[in-house]
Amino acid sequence: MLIKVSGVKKIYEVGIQKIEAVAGIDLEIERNEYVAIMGPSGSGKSTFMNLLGCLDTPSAGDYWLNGKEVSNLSDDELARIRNREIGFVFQTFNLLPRATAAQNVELPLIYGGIPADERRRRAEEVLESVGLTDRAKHRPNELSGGQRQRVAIARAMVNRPSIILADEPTGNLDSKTGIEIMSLFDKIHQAGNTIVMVTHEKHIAEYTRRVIRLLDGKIESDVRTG
Amino acid sequence: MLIFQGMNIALRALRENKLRTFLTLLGNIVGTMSVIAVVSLIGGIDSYVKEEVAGEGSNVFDIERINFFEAITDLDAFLEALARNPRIRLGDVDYLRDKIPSASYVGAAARGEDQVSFRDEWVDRIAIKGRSEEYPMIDDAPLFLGRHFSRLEDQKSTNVAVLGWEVYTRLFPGRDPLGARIKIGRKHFTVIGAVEDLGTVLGESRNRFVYIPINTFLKVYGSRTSIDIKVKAADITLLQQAVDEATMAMRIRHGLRPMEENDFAIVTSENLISLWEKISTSIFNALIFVVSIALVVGGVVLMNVMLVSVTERTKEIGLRKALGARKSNIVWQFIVEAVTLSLIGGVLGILIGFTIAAIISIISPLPYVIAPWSIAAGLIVTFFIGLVFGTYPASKAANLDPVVALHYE
Repeated sequence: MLIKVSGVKKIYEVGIQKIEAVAGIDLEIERNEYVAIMGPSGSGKSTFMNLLGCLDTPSAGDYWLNGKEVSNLSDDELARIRNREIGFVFQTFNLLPRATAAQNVELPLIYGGIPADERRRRAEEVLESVGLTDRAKHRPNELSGGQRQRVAIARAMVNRPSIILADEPTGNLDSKTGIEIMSLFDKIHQAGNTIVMVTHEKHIAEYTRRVIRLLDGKIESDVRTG
Repeated sequence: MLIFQGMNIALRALRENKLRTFLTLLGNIVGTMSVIAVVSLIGGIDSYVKEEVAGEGSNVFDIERINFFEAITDLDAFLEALARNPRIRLGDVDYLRDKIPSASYVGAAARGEDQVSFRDEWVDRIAIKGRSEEYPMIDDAPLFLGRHFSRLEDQKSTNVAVLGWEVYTRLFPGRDPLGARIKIGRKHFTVIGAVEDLGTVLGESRNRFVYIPINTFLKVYGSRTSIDIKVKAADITLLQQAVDEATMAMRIRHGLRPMEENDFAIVTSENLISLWEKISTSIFNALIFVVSIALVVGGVVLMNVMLVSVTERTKEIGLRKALGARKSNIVWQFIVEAVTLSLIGGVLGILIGFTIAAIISIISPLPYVIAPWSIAAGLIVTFFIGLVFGTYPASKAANLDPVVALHYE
């Protein structure tokens, strides 16, 4: 089991009011699954993604990632988990504007303490796998939206993480580019990677093999499609 | 790698926003600039004072009625001496001549100021130096032409004069002055010699003087003037001994009891150097005060700009954390940036400081030297300013919640 979440809650205190953004979720995800998490805004899907991505820790419940309990780790231990186990793809790409595509891709390797020559080799490798070898020296403002998201995907994969977490990865792209990005995710999935994707668009969720719907911080439905 | 990254970010910020960076670093620039400029100039004067004042005639000291430098260093003692000390007369000089075995020469000296003229030409504010006949052995007065006056001429109060280079060249351009009748004030004098060009000291000409016999001086300018006694020790190593012997002889001459203070002053070039050291020390103290203020202000401004930078780059910090940056990575990044910025300010300050010192020494007679320790001090201090004032913004950045930071707009 790659991911095992049991009884996870995230409770925010606003004044005297307690808000359960995540109100008790049990979930298991196997290696090489391709999962969409859907739900209206306020359903807790963003909060749940932050918990899955080890950006945040649950108020209650357990979270095993790759056989390791990660719900009670320190900030620096969480940083190490994020660096090794998780690849993030964001809606707004989140590339460093003044760094080249290759430098952006190398960033997780820097924090992983990988030596410079190996960083360069691995960055070249993943940029090739997303079809951007000829754009390695370009800065984000010299790239199209689709190319930027490809750089971000390359960055997410460069550390060979256990899971790739994508938060509305096509939200800022036109539909034609969105289809290109989704077929890239398909390819990545077929190569054996595990992908968890947050989306509110049905036609995007259709690319995945399992759709989990959240409502009011709980799982409403969990449907395998392929 | 992360060091270079931080330095790159700092250098990029510098290039992209030159004015803001300059204003940020103004405190550092002013601080290091003042250190460098003042240290260079003081160092220049310092080496000058030590070489020139101490080197030339360093085995000569003066016995004077009062030490005018005391007015600067100890005003009360000065005023007391002014009221108490009797004037020194020619008789005292004669008395001392065989009482100081360690001295090779003892002479009398007095000084006034007057106009010197020859026919239609004149020069104002010339130092009139009355001397006994030993003066060529005591003063730095190599002859250019003619001769010095003799003991007989002094004893007879003859009106003869030996000209300084400026007086000679202004009154007798391209002419032979020997035997000419010049006027000092309203009295006529015969020129018997002229002294070589002695150059300048700190921009002051050393050539604006006339030597006349001491007896003549007292006759013209009043015999009630207190004179100085110039003593030349036989050797620099005998200076202190000569000072002690002269002090003892003067005390006996003035009939002082053992508990009474000296009623005369001994002025050595060491006195002058220690006076200069007192002055330069107080300049340094004032400098440290000014520089500390400039650097603290500079540090606070730097911290402020770094805080703005942290806020502007909240999302970037969130991203870096999401990708696995630990707190120490973020702290490191911002401290390197702050230190780099601060050091750039230090380097600019050093360059501007040397430029200012160089310009001052060109337009004024003040010399300057480049003191390597002041460069090192400037760099070390600005390094620590960056470190100290960069720490708070850096820790603020490192402690950002990655979820909040990532979604910051």
